[in-house]
Amino acid sequence: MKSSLKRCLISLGLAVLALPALAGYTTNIDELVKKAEPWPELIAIPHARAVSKDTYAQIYSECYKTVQGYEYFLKHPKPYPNMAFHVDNAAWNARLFERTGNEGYAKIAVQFLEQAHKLLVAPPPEPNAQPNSNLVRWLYWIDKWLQPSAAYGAEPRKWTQAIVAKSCPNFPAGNAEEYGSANRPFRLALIGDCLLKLSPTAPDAARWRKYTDTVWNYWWEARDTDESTDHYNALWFRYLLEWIEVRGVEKEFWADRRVKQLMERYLYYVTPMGAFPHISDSCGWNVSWGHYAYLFEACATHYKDGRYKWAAHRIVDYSINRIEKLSSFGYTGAEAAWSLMKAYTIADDTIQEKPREFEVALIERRKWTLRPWEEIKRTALWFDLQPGVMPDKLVFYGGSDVDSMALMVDVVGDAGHSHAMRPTVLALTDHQSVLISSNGYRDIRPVDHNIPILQDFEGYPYDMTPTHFKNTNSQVQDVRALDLGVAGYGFARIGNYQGYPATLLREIVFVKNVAVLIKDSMTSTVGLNFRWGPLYRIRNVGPDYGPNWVNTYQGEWIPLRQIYKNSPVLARFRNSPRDLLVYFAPEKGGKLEIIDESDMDKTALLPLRVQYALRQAVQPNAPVSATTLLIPHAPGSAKALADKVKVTLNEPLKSAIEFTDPDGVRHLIVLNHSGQPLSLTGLQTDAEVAYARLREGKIDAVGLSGGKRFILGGKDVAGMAAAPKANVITVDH
Amino acid sequence: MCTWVRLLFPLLALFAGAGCLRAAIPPNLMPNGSLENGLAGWTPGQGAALDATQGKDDAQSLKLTFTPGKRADATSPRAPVEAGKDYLVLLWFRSEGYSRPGKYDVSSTYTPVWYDAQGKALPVTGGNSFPYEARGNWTRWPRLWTAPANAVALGLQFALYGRADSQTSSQWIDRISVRRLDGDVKPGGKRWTFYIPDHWFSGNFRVAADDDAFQGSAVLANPKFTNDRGYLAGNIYHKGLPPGQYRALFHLKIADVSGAAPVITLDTNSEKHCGVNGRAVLPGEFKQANVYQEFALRFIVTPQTGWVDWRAHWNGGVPAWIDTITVVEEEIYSEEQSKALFD
Repeated sequence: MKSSLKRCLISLGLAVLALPALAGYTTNIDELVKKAEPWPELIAIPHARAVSKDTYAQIYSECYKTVQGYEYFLKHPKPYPNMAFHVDNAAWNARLFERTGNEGYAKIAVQFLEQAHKLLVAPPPEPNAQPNSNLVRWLYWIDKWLQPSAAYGAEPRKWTQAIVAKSCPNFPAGNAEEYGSANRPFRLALIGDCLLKLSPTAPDAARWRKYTDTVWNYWWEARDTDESTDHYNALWFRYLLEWIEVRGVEKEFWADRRVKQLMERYLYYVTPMGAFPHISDSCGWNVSWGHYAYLFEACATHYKDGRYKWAAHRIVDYSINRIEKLSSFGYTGAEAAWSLMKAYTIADDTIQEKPREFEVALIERRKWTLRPWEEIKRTALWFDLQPGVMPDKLVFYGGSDVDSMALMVDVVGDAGHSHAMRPTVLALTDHQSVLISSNGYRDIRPVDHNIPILQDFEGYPYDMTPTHFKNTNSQVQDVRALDLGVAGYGFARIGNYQGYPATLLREIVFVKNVAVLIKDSMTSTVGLNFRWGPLYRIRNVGPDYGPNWVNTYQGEWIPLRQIYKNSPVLARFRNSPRDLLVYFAPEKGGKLEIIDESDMDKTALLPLRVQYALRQAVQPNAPVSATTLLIPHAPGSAKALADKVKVTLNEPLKSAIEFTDPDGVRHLIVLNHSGQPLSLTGLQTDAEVAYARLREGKIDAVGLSGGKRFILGGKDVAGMAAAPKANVITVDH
Repeated sequence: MCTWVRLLFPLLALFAGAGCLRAAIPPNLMPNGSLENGLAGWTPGQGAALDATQGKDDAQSLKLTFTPGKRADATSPRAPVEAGKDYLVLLWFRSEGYSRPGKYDVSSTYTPVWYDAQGKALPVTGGNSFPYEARGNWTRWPRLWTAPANAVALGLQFALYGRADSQTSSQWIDRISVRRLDGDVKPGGKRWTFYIPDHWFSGNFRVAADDDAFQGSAVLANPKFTNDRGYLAGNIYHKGLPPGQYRALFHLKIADVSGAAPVITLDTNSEKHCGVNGRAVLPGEFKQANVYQEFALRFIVTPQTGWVDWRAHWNGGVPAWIDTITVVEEEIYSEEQSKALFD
C-alpha cells in the first residue's frame, strides 16, 4: 500500500481493513487480445435504399413459407395436440385472405380452426391441447377477417365461438388481474374487449367490462406507458394499436395531441443507422424491430409525417440486411413479420422520408412513482401517475445520415422493467456499427452497465435494494441537453448514487461524428475509502492497449439471447466493422482493469468489464472526477490516436482535453464549473463548456455554453459559436 | 448386521482387487444400530423401549414416547472412530403426534457424543433437530461429521420432549449406520462456483470492494457498521447434484485471527435432509489475518436430497469477508453404491 494512502486510512481509523497494492482479480489483457473475435476481412451489407410496402410483403411472405409447411399437420388423422398452433396458423391464413381476397387462404384457415375444434371435442391428454385466454385475441381477428369468406360458414363460426367459450370460462382474477399502463394489463384488457365483442354475454362479462374500462381510462388519463424497455414498450404498442381498433376509438386516438407526443418520443429513440437500441429488460439489440416498423408506418400515415417514414424504413433496412436468420427466433422473425404484414396494410408510400429536426435532445415522459411493495400486492398497480413529467433519455445524433454517430443515455425515473441504472450509456453507434450497448435482460448489477463503479472497501451500509422493486437509489436530480451546433453537451446529476450518500455528475460532450467525452464527478457526504471510476461493457479488446487506454469493438455479430445467464443465443444481427478507443484521462493511482466474466456466463452479450479503477480515500463533500474519451475509428490499432490525446487540465471542476481524430483534425474540449474564468497557456474562457475544432491549423468550428469569451491563441473565437439550443421532446400533462 | 451388508462384504472382497466396483462401501461401525440384538449396547432412558412390532425393514426398532411433561431419551451403542476423520451417519426414523400446526412445541433431537480413550464424553459441540412435524413414513436422515481431537468413539443421544400441554408423541429409530467416509477431490471433476455478491447473502451485510476477491468484490460483515449476526452467504438452493460425495470450499477472510470464539459457522442445508454437515471456523484456523483462505465442508447427496444450500453464518465481532463458495466433486455414486449406502 502506498504510504500516503495508508497514513490517510490510519487517520480515518481504517487500518484494520488494509488494501493490497494490486488487484489480482483482473484478467490479463494480452490474453483477452489473443482470444478477441477478429473482424472478417470483408463484411458486405446490402442496403434496401427504397423500402416500400413491397418490402414488407416480401418479408412476411418469406415468413409465411414456414407457416405454409404446417399445412402438413392438416393431413394427420388426429389433430396435432397444440391448440395455439392451430389458432396461430388460422390467424396467418385469415390475415392473408383479408389482404389478398384469395379464398385458398380462407379455406386453410378454416381447416386449422376445425383441427382446433377437434381438440375441444375429444381432448387429448397434452396440456397445450386446451385453449387459453390469449387465443381470444387471435380468434377475434380470425372471425373478423374471415367474415366475407364463403369458407367461413355457420359451422366454422360455431367452432370459433366454442373455442372462445373454453378459452375464457371466467374472469382470470388473482395474479393475472393487474392494472397500469403496462404491457401485461394491456394484453389482458385487449383480451377482455375481444371477448366482449365476440361474446357479449360471456361469463363475467360485467367484470371484464369494468376491468377493460379501468385499464383504458387509466392509460388515457396518462397517455403514456409506465414501462421503460425497448421490448415491453413494443409489446405495449402492439397491444395498444390492436386495442384501439377493437374498441373503435382509432379516430379519437390518432387525432389526440398527447398521443402524438408519445409517438414522438419513440421516434427519437431510433439511431440514424436504423437500429432500435436495447433498453433494460429485453433479449437484446433491436429485438422488436418489426413492431416499431409497424408503429412508425402507422404514425407516418395518420400524421402524414415523413419523419416516421424515415424511422420505419431505416429500421427495416437495418434489420433485414443484418439479421443472420429470420426464422431463428420468434421475436425477430415471425413476430416481426406479423407486424410487417400490418405495416404493409397501413403504409402510405406517397409520404416521403424526412429527417428529424433535432440532433441533441432531452426526452421526457409522464412522471410515475413506484408504489410500496405491500401496496402493489394489495392493488395490483405498480405505479402512481404523478403531475408533471420526468426525464427519460438523453439523445445525441450527428445527423440523419446512416453513418452518423449516435449516443443514448438513460436518465429515466421510476419505470417498469427498467434497470434503473442511471446514467448508463445505452448505445453508442457510428458508421453503422454498435460500439457500446446494454447487457442482458437479467444483468442488473451496476457493474453490468456503462456507469461508474462505486464501492467502498469497508462494508458501509449503503442501500443495495434491487432496483426492480425499490427505486430510491440513483435518483435523477437534474438533467439537461444542449445542442451547441458542432457538438452537443448534456449532463445528468444523480443523487443517492448506487445507494451511497453520494452524488454523481455525468457530463457528456458529444463532438458530432467524431468523439464523445464523458466526465464523471462524484461527491460523497461521508468520507470513505472507495474504489470507483468509469466502466464500460465491451465484447472484444485489441489489437492494442496502453496504461490508460484500450481499443475495443463489438465484433461481427450482435447476439440476442434468452433472459438468463448462459441461456442460448437466439438471433444475431451483423455489425459493421468499427473500433472504439476507450481512453481514460490519467489519474494518480488510476488503473486500467479488464475483468472477463465469460466463465460465469458463457453466452454473455458483453462479457468484459473495462474500467478505470481509482482507489481513493474520498473526503466528505470533496468531489473527485474521472474522464473518458471515446473515439470511434476504422478497425485496427488505436495507439496513434491515444498518443495524440493531450490532457492539459484534469481536475474535478475543470478539464481541458485535446485530441486528434482519425482524419487528423484537432479538437479541444474545455469544461469549467469552478465559477471562475479559466486561463491556461494560449486559452482563456469564462464558459462552462467550450469546444473548438482545428483543421489544418485553423479554427473552423466552435461550440460554447455558459460564457461569452473563448480566447485561443490570442483570438476570441466565441463569435463563431452558434447559440445553444435546449431541445426537449416532452409530453403534455 | 443387516442382510445386505452380510451379503455385500464377501462380494466386495471378491471384486475389490479386480477393480470391478468403483469404490468399496465402507463398513458400518455402529454395533446393533438396527436393534437386531434388542437393546444390547443401548442406554434407554425414560420413555424409551424396544418396539418389537415395527422397524424399517423388520419388526425391531427403538421407540421414544413423550407424554406431556415427560421427556424421553436414549443413547446408542458406541461406534469406533478416529479423530479428524469424517463419518457418514445414517439413520431412519418415523414419528407420530408432534407439534400441532404452527405450534412447534414438540421437539426431537439427536446429539453426537464423542468419547475419548478413557470413555469420557468430550464436550458437546452441538445438537441436531428432527423435523417439528410428524413423519408417518420411514425417513432417511444422513449426516456427515468429523471426529474431533481425542475422539475414539461416537454415540448418538436421542431425545423427544415438549411442553406440559403438548400432545403425546412417538418416534421410532432404526438402522443407524456409521461409516468412515474418506475422499478427495476428483481430478477433472465438475465444479460449481457461486459468486456470493451476486445476491446470495442476507440483508445485514453489503457487497464491498475487495481487490483480493474474485471479480474484485466480496460480501463484508464489519462490526464498525453492524453487529447483527446473520448469513454472509446462503440462499443458493442449488438443484440437480447427482448422489455422491462433494465438498464445498468457502473462500473466507477475517481481519483478526487472535480471538478464540468462532467467527463464522459453515453448514450444508438441504431440502429433504435439512442440515447435512456443519462446522465452526475458529480464528486460529486462519493462517493470516486479511488473507483469503479456503475452508472445506464435505457433504453427501442422496437420491432424495433435493436442493442444497451452503451457508456461512457470521457470528459478529471480527470483520469477515466471503467472495465465493465452490462445490467440487469427490465421487459420484453409482446406483449400486447409492443403494448400498442409503437404502
